[in-house]
Amino acid sequence: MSVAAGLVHDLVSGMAGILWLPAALVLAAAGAALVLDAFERPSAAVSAVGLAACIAAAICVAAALQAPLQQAVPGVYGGGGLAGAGAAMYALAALAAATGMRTLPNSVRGAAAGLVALSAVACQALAGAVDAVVMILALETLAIASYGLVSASGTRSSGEVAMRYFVQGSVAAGLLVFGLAGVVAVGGGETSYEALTASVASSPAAAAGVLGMLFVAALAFKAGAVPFHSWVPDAYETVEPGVAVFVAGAPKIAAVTAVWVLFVRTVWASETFADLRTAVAIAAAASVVVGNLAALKQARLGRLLGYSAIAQAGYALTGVAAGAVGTGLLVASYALAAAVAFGVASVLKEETGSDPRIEDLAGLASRRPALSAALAAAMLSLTGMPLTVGFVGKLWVFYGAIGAGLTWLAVIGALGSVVSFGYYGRVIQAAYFAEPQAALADTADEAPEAADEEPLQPNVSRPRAWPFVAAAAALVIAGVAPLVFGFEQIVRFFMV
Amino acid sequence: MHLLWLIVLPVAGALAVLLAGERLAPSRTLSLVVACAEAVLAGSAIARMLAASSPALSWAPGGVLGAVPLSLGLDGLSAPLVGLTALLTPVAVSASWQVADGPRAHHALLLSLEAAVMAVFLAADLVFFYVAWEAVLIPMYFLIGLWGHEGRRHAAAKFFLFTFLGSALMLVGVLLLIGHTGATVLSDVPRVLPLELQRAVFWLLAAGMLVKLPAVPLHTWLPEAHVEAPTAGSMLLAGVLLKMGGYGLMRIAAPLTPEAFREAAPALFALGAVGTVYGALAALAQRDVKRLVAYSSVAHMGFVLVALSARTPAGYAAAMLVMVSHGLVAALAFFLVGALYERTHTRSLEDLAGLAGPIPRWSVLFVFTALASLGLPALSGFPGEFLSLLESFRTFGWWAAVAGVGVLLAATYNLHAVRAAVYGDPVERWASLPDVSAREVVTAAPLVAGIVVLGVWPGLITALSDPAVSALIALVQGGGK
Repeated sequence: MSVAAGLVHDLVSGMAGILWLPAALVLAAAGAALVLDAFERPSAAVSAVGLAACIAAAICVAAALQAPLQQAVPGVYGGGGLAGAGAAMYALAALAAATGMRTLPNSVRGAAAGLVALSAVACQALAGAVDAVVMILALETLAIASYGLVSASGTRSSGEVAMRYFVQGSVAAGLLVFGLAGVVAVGGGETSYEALTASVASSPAAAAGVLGMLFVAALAFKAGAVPFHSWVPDAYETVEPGVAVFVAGAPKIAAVTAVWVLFVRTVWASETFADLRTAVAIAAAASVVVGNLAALKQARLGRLLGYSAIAQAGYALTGVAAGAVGTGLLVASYALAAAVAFGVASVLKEETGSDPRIEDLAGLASRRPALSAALAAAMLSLTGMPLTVGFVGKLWVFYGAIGAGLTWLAVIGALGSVVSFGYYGRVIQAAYFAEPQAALADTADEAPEAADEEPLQPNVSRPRAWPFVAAAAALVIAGVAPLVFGFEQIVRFFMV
Repeated sequence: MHLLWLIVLPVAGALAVLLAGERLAPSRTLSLVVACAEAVLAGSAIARMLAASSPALSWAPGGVLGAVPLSLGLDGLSAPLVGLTALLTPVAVSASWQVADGPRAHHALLLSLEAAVMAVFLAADLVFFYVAWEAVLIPMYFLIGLWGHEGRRHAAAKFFLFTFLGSALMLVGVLLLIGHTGATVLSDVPRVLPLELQRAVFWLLAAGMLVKLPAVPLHTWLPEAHVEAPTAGSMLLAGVLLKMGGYGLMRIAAPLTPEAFREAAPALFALGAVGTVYGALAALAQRDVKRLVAYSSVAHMGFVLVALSARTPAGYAAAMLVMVSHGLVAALAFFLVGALYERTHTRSLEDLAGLAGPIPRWSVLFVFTALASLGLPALSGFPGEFLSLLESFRTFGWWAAVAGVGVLLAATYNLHAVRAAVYGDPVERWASLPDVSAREVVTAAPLVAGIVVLGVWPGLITALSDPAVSALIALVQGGGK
């Protein structure tokens, strides 16, 4: 007992030195997953990744509370809000593993778990990068792992979507590398953010603007903001919901944090880049408008969440443009809520065998009350309703925007939230208010054989729903607790 | 911390009902016990407030965004509405005694709605106020959507989107305010903002509050929501939720942006006066009796705007009187209409006739409600509307006559409803209707008593609210303290 306590104490007090530990742990789990997969033990591979991600998330939580922001390994920072972001990303990986990824073909399950683990590490590196080369390496690793995950379900459409995603991503990567080349040339070989910003700021304004824009474009692509958003809905719809639990949120946290570290902590300080800031603000507004309006008409849950993700990227960029301290909290709360939504989708897909459409949710409230309550909480959090953590994030971002003189952006964001209830509310309505028998009759008409098959082949084990119910409870608790204990702690946890 | 219990108790009660309802005891009994306990608690809180030396704005200090934001306050402006909420909730619980479809969730939602409304009236912090304001939407949305009538899905969505649109703009206003004053806590310290900013903040805040009230061009969510909601939902919606709009204007928008409020007062008066006439005319045109009552709410809430736009202590007092009176009258009206619908399964005035014969007790109550609603002296409707006309006449001169037309029209539509439903030859179809039961009489009793007491002794409310009102008016008129 005392040994364990001593160990915990050492761990916490020596936090500074071991900020690399979570990443190493998860990377090891990724390797283990591939080995286990080779022995045809995909379930064990998924479990290994889940376990490692859980431990990594716990270490990150401790680090976020204990360790200040500092260098973890050369070129990558950790601790503080970056550890908070890391905790969120590893928790998402753990949640993805908790679905068991059983809707994937058995042949790729282990590999997919490995890719999730690898992506999680890449996400942490991307978020904490303070060197342009490290950032690009992390971004590319993440991108390649994402292409693999999108195509993992092995259907024809998934291959096509992954290919399109890959081609568009390559263009973004090209822009980034081109930008890097220019920046390095201007900066005389320096690649760390600080040195780059200094040297680029003193170069001709046009060059600085163009090079900065190339960076913004590449990161906006990863975050899925307008005008680099066209891959998002396809990818969200195609990727298996169990994998989407991770893929929808974690790369977004990473990309937004990377944008934050690069721009807010270094670039915004310099007057030269005022145009760049305007560009980010406009991209934010456009994302909010386009994402919210396009999501209104979607019939499939995945695609709806895809368009909504574009809008959410807009809110995150609002925070970046304003330098709002709540940006980290906003993306983390988005990611967790999206994970709950995809988790519910994954449970439903495992039960019914098809990607849920919104009308298929009819009667969910009476069949699975806990699951539908989780879904409703996720939708309310995504809308930004008070009593959920989504509100706390938006509150701080809008507050920051108003403080930075971007009131118009806050108004667009607030109105966008109203529009967003048009579709998030549709999901709640379908789950709670719709008459279930109509929907059942509908599916029976469309696919009678599927309806016949179902009772004959009951799942070996019921899909695990409790992690997502717990995560939904966390959304609500994190939204209520600040009212009692103050907003400071929760914002600080994710503040970089 | 005493006040926190007013919010915690119904939340805990809601959880208890949700978890233990129908197992330990019927949900309705549990929630009735909780609602009654809450009423006692509210009564004792108001008594303590009166006993305290300074019953005016006695807010807790602190509350800058980031520090502990949970500051609560009870003063003369919130006390009548807290009391109203505490009175109406047990009545609403009792009115939904017969709900058989998911009683646990229904009663849990009623109690959480009460908690949220209490939080609105007790909030002494802008952020907490906003949170509570929005939190009210969630239980109401589910109450309408799950237990409403035929058009419930549409009504629930429309209710949510309309009010959310208003409150999203209100959020921007709140954040602008916080950003420029540096504090979130409400107090009686005057804060001077530049006029341009005041204008923006006032109209952003008013957007949320006028939708909630509702003022006329923004009222279209109301008839649908009221008609489709279950009886208890309509009672609380009309009884307390609409009051949040008037309360917000009086407590937050007007004192924090006094200059902009002064400029906007004629516009607010116009909205209110038009509302009284439009609501009454629309009520006159209805054939659905529940819809008629819904439109009468629009008319009555118009008087709130008429009264508070006078920017005088008596105007504020009149607005408060109208709100409390309307809370009682509208709740009683929706209760009676709901009870009738349970028996006849129709709300159409064309099908109803001659009910005085088969159901005399119901008819007496209905006539009583109509008389209270049309503003008969000695019933609660009269003092508030009379005082608001008087105050607006002082401020706006003969323009007040428009609202006077509203008073006349109120008599028309109320008597129209009475004549159509109660009088006339008895119809064979309704000959064997059961009259209101003892439970229903007990349910209606507190409302009837309240209407009579308030009509005879309106000073009860004005005395309660007076200290807070004079402090607020000092801010509104820009005199400072």
